[in-house]
Amino acid sequence: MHDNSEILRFMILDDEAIIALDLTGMLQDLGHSVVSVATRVAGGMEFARQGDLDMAILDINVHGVASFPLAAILQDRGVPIIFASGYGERGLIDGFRDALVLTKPYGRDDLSNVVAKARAAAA
Amino acid sequence: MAARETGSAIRVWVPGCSTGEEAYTVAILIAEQATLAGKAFDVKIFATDAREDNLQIAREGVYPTAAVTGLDDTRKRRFFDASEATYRVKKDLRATVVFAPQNLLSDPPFSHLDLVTCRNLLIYLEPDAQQGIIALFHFALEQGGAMMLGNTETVGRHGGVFEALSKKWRIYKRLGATRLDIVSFPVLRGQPGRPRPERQTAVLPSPDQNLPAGDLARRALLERFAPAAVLIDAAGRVVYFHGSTGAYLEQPTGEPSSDVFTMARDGLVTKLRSAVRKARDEGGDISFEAKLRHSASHSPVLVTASPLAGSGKGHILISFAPLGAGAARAMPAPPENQSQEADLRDELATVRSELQNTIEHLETANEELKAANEEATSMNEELQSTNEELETSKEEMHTVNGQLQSNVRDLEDSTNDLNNLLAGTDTATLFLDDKFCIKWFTPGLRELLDLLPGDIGRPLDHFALKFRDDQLLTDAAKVMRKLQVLETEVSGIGGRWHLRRMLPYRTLDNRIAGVVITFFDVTDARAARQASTEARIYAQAIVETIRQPLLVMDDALNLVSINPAFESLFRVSEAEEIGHSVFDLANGGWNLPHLRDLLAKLVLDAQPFNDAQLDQSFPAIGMRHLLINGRKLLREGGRQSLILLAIEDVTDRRRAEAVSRQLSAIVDSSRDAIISIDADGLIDSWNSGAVTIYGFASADMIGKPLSVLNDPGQPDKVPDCLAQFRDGADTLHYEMSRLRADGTSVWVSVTESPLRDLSGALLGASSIARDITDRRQAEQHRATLMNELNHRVKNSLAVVQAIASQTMRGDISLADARLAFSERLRVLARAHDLLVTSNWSGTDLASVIKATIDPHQGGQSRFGVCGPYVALNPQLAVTFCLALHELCTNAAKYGALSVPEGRVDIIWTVTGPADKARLWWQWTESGGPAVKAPVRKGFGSSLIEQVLPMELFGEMSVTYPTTGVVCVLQSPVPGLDP
Repeated sequence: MHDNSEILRFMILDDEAIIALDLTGMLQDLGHSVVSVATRVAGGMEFARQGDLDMAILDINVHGVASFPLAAILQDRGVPIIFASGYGERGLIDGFRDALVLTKPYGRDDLSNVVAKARAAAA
Repeated sequence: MAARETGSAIRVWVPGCSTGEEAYTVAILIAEQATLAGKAFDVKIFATDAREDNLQIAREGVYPTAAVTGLDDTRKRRFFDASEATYRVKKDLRATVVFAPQNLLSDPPFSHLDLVTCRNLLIYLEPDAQQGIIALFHFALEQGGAMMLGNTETVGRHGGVFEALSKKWRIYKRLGATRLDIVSFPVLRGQPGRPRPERQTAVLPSPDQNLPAGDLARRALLERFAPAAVLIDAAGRVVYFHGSTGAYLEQPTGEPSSDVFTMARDGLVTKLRSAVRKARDEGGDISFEAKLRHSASHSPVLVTASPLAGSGKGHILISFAPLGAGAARAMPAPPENQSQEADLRDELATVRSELQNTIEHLETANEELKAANEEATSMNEELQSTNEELETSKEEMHTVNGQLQSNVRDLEDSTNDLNNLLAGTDTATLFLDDKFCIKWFTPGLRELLDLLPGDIGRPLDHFALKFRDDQLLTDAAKVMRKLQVLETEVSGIGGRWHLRRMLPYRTLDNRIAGVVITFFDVTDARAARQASTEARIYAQAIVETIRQPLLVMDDALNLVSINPAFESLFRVSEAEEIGHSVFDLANGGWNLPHLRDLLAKLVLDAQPFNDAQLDQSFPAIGMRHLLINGRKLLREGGRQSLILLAIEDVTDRRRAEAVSRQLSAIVDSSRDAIISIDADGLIDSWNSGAVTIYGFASADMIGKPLSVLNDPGQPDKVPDCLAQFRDGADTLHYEMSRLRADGTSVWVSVTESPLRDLSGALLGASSIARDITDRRQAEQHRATLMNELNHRVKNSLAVVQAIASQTMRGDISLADARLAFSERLRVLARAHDLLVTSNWSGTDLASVIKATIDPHQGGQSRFGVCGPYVALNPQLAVTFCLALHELCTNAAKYGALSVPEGRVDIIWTVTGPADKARLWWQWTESGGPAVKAPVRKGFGSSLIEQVLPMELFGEMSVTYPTTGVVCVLQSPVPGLDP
């Protein structure tokens, strides 16, 4: 599971605090650190623009607000993005059709695989 | 008239005759009475009036029909010639009446009259004038003649000279002799240009210059030697003067006189008178001496009166011989005084004797004068009467002359009129005498016959006719023989046609003196007649072939004819129905009040009607809806007018219209857009459903192609339905988006069907569209809901997974973990229940707290809950439930709820302005065992201290005083996100 020992700094955006808490736990289990947890798009924008991070896991529908503007900022910054959504890939819009998606609910292996893919893609 | 003999005269005067009615009436009555009596009279009726214009009318004798209405037909026929609106008194009657101008007040009257009728004229005059005229009538009437006055007029004070024959009718008879004293006879008017004849004076012998020599010698001797003398007649008038008689005779002052005694000078008269008488009485010469006193010298003169025996007329010659000195000497000269006395005595005796004679003579003369005077008076009366009669006769002559002149003028006028008429009209007229020689012709004849005025008198068969007429002379002979009018049409040059009318020429005395031939150009009339015949054939053909039933009736609404269309529609036959009333037609099917009214108006007022509706069930053909037009055909020549009914059977049309209306109503009321297009794809009709669905008004769309409804956003190509229908397609069905008037799209379900005629040719198509926007929205909504549900379920599962994952974390026994997980799931389920009851729209803080703490009450009231209403969204409600559950679980395990007397107070407040309101929430345990902070913090602590404040964007502080756990949560009021 720890085939890559590099510690990545994650940003998490999810309006469900429980899920964010669990995801944080899982990422920490995978040896990464979570540097920012936002439950609202607006609340996460500042960090998205300026925070130090390596990767972001973003819910698509955050308390009724789509997360794509925030995702676009991260994309511009070259930060790999993983969308986590109950909608799956169908929730994506143009511009993000090729983004990596975690379909809720997901397990730790799913998370590990998609992070690995994101790292591979970014490399 | 009963007493008069045939041939005697009857003279009547109608003064003030006005326009002649009275005069003609008298003439008629006299004529009738004469006929009754079987006699013929020389009737002369003088009708006079002061106004010439009245007389003119009277002479014409033409009266309007109204004027003769009082007369019976026998009289009208006998005495009048009737023309269109007038009656003219016949000529023989007119001849008995002489109309003349006369002023009753100033002109002389007529005389020897048998009757004067003067009705209602006197009433216009003053009483004096009336009386004068009555007297005039008395004079004018023959002895025993009658006078008739008006109803209110009488003879007045002349009652004595009239006897009333009928008081009621004011008829009087003249009585007594002519009374000149009561007549103020009008003076005869002076007639200019007609001087009265000079009165002839006594004829005196005029000296003749050419006398034989013997006579001249005798005259010279007489003049020289014979004394002056005068010859007087028996009356004493001088008839001849000889020589100078101036010394003895003198004209006295006054009118000239030929009476010798008047002329005799003083001293001569008395002696001369007695001498003349004596000479006449004794038949011998009587001489006397006299002295003339006219001059200073009383010269004596010897006067001798000698009757001329040869004359036989009582002529006496008086000669005057002066006595000269010799004579005086011859006389004895008495002594101066004695002789003077003797002279005086002698003269006195002479004077006495003269006086005696003179007195006797005067007496005689006086008697003679009386007799002469009487004679003169009577003569004068006679002369006066004669004079009046002459005047009257002259007046009559004048009257008759005036009438004759008037007749001559009338004749001239008539001749002129006739000439102008014949010359002016184009009518070609030819008069032939009984030998068929040309008598007279009009200029208009030249087109038919080359005649010159000089040809009059030549036989007609010498001339070449310019028209084809072989029968001309034969016909003329026939007309002469049979005395009837003959009409033939003959063709002339240039295709003209003439109506040749030939009739006998009758003179006034009803003699046939030839024939009159007139030619009328009837080319146009003939053409018109032909056109009329053609028009009739044409009209007949139309009536026979027209598909509209026609019905013709007479005034009494009996059928005159019906056309074949009528026969076929109503299944009747013309032969059976002709002559019957229209109301008997079709078993009384036409006997309808409405139709009766219309026909009555049509017959009486000629008021036409159009499109009168007649809905009637006929036995033979059933219910029919008819439209009827009615006209009255007025015909010329007083012929009975006809009533024409044109009928249109609109039964089938009504039915079709009804069906069409129903369909139209269906189309109109449909909420579907029903559009028809023609074979070119252009919109024909556009119903209200189309207006509603597409938003375009009908007027904007008719004539436009259906493609204006194409939605540019529509991905699929709009099929060309007409092309498919031409290829034999039947009905097409598809769903599509179309463009609305406001630019938005509308989803419609379209059914397109071809419209074909009976032969199958494509006329167009119908396009019926139903708005399926709602359905599509519902479908989309459902899809959205499914998507949302999927998302929620997935989210919920993710939460459950997180709870499970978190519950398992750390060193916890599997049994504990299982218990904790199942309890957390139960809380989660309870939170969902709470949300489902509110339709997942959220709930409030108190409800969440109550639902969570209930399982921990343990049948006692161990919780104090107090705080205002705070709304929570579903996610917060779930998180609050989970966090509260963890607090309750911990309190039950280690805190206040682990002992029966422990309790928990949950209180909260909201502070601050509405847009920045903040929630302050506190959990306080009391009565439990002394607590201390836990060594290890699990998922429960995370829920309380991290998850809840994170979701509320607030801070949670958890402290562990010995009295019990205290949790304080401070955050913005939920819903007011930072």
